Amino acid sequence: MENNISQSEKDEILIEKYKNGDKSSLEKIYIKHKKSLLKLIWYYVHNIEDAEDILQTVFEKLIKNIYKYKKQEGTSFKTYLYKITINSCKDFLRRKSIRNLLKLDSIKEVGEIDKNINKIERNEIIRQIHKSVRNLPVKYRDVIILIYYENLKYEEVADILNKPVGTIKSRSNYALNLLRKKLEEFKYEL
Amino acid sequence: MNYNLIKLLKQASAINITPSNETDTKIREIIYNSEISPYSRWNTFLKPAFAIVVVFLILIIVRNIFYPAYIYNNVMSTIMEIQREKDVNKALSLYSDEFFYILSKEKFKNNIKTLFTYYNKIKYIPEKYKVILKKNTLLIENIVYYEAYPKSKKFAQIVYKGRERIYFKKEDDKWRIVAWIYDI
Repeated sequence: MENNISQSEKDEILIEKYKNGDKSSLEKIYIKHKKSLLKLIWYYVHNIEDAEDILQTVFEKLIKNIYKYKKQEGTSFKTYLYKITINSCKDFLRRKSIRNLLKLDSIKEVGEIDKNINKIERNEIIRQIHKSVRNLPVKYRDVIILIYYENLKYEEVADILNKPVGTIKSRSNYALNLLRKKLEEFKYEL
Repeated sequence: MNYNLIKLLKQASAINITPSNETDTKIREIIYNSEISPYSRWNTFLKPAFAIVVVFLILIIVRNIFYPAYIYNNVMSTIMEIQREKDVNKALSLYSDEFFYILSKEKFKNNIKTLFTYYNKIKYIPEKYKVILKKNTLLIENIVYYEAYPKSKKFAQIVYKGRERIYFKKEDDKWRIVAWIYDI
């Protein structure tokens, strides 16, 4: 099924098909975005079970509000989906008031990292990075997650967060400085 | 030891997680059991149709407001011309056989007589009017004042205040007064 999905088939076309009654189009969207959405959610909640629950909520919300979606110039369905996802994560965090320490056990695999850094030290640094990002004020955390974790462009982040591009850039710089300070507290020179 | 923060952030983001089979199944169920919101059908089909209906309604309303008012102004300017005429006989002759009074009250008969007999100049002031336009019939209902200028005095006085209805009929693209009912 996943192999059958044409990469070139645009989300907007799939959404229109779904609106016209073709439910498999929405399944295609799910398959296309499920990993990236789950990852994005995980950055916020740091728990795979909660992330999967939120992913379900995201699709429930998407179905409920799909009639509101309108393709606008300079925006994409992906940013619309990210908006729903981030809002769902924030709702979840607000409700649960989660203040637990990070549970990195749920990460199944961590990507390649500089070979000069040994494995234990690498895991510790990454743990501290996630913890520091998680403890950033919301507006800076959003920017770090979207720009550096999700590799989105400033314009896309600006669209998702409804802020001017300039604001996103300055928040990004400020957030990096905050992170540096936080990590220096753990005796990492950055 | 020095590290590059941005590089570390990228590396921290390099996690590979995927929804469990259970979640996959649940979300597929959500998708396949979903009802496409009536609002989406509304947006796709009904909204444009509704917009067209609204535009037509607006056009009809506009026509019913402005077109009768336009006719009214044309017709009333003719009537006012007639009323401005000092010579009563001449004024009445202007109505010719197209026009006839229906005077419902004696009181008004006296008033109108006063108007034409004792005053040099009379002015018709429509205050509030209602226009009803049907296919070939136009009804104008007014709360009217007749303001008169006595021959010997400079200032006008109100000599009549009442209600009138003027019925018009369209014949050969011309509006003809069928009846003019005063003081009803």
